[in-house]
Amino acid sequence: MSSNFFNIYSHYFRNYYRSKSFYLILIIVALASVLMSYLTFKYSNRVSEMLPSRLISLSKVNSELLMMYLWAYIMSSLPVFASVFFSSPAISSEIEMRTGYFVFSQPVDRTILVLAKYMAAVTVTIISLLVYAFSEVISIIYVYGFIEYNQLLWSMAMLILFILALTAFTFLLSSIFNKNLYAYITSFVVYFVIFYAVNLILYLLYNYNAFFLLNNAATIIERVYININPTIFTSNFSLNPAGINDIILSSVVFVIYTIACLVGAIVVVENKEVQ
Amino acid sequence: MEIKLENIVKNYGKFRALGPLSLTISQNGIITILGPNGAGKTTLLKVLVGLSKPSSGRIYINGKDFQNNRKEILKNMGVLVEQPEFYPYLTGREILEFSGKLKGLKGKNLEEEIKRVSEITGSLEFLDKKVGKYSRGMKQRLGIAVALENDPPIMILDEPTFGIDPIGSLEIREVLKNLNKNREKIIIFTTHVVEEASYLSDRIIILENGIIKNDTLNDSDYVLVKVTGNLINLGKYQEMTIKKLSDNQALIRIRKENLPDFNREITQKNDILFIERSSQVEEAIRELSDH
Repeated sequence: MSSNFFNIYSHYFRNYYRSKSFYLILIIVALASVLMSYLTFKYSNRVSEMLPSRLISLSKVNSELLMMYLWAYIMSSLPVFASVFFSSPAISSEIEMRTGYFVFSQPVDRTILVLAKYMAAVTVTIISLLVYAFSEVISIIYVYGFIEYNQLLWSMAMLILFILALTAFTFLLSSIFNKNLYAYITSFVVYFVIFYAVNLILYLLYNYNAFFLLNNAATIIERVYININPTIFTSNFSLNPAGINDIILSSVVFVIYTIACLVGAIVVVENKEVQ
Repeated sequence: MEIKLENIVKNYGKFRALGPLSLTISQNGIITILGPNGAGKTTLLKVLVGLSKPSSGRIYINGKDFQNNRKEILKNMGVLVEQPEFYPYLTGREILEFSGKLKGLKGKNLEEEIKRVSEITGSLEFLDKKVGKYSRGMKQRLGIAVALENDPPIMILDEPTFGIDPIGSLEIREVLKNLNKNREKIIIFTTHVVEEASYLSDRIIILENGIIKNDTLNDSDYVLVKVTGNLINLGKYQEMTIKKLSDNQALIRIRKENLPDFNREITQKNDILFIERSSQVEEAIRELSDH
């Protein structure tokens, strides 16, 4: 079983990293890295300007954390594009491109196929984001002379959990459709429109923080530096990082999304007809 | 090996694509599912290899329920369904490695098997190119190579010569013919080309609107004749018609010894195409004698 998993994983991984989508994502990530490096070099002395005047005297550590917060703010949206590119067509393309006739008639459980392809998509997503992470580390160390590794590692750990959850979520959507375009559009619309609209409705009408939404949970990637939630309208915040309870809450949300969506995708694929 | 389909029905919504259909294949050889487009040939094969679940009915391979033993059964099946597509950024060799490993091959055995099947199918020369650059014919050859891997006792091939140039088609037919030389496999293949069916088959199953219209053994004492023209002119030969293809076309199965009479009586009135049979099967003769 494990040899089948590795065989399928390695072939899907090869098919992913040789694809045009991979190079397109690399270009997008490289572009984001260049822009953020530019911001870091030009804005590092003025980073306190983005805060209310009462907090204007920042220590060097806080200044650096604020800059890393900005890097993480952009970083948390990059996996959405990478995951959508790699994972949205993951199952639907097997039907649309008719590769399903080949792969679903092989002597292997469809569950193994889904899990191996899922891990291949997660791997290429993480690899494509490494460019950004390296650029961040190099820029921050160059400008500030040091880096807060503890916070950086928490942020990266949360990023990986987010990628796992988001990829599983897009796999589930992909398994429902037989056309790639529908899977792409639905993934984008659900993440960027539905989630944000639900968040606004719950927060503004009912004063309820919809922590269970994937986009809200993803803010932990930047909040491990400074606990400002960009999806909630409030003037109350501090320069402290998010606490362990916030990290646990977001991690639980990610894990639940990952498991629930993967189980859902596997159930759909197990019963899917190749037409 | 025995393949048994019991009351298979496949519906797509309210549309019945297949069945009710029962079929037993217990003798090795080439079994052709012949029929026009939309007859249900591909649906039947999809159901047979688990790409599509039957709305009702059961499939047994060697007495084992397909649904409950899918993985084990597929290890003994070489499958080519529809016009094959493969992952475009992998090479043909990587595709064969992928499927070969899933069938339990590894190391030197896998390498040798890849060489063997690619030589048989004539795909060796383009095996290291990415599949995205393959022509339809190259993909078809690769698909047959995948189906041949690990020398399975059952092969399911959906229009294997489709998309291949005429010379390539003849080569693929010879590949199938050679595979069947010693009658060691059950090879089920679909086609809508009568000549192909007649040339290759030991048994021809004619499918129309999802149900079996005719199921006969193919042998050398008989010829399959396609008649074009006014079918009323067939006279007594109308009784030997095994399938009406259209208002003015029919397939007739006729004893070779009766051919001269047939020629004399019919040739003046119709355009006639004779198609030679491939093998001798005593059971068929007995069956037809009974009629």
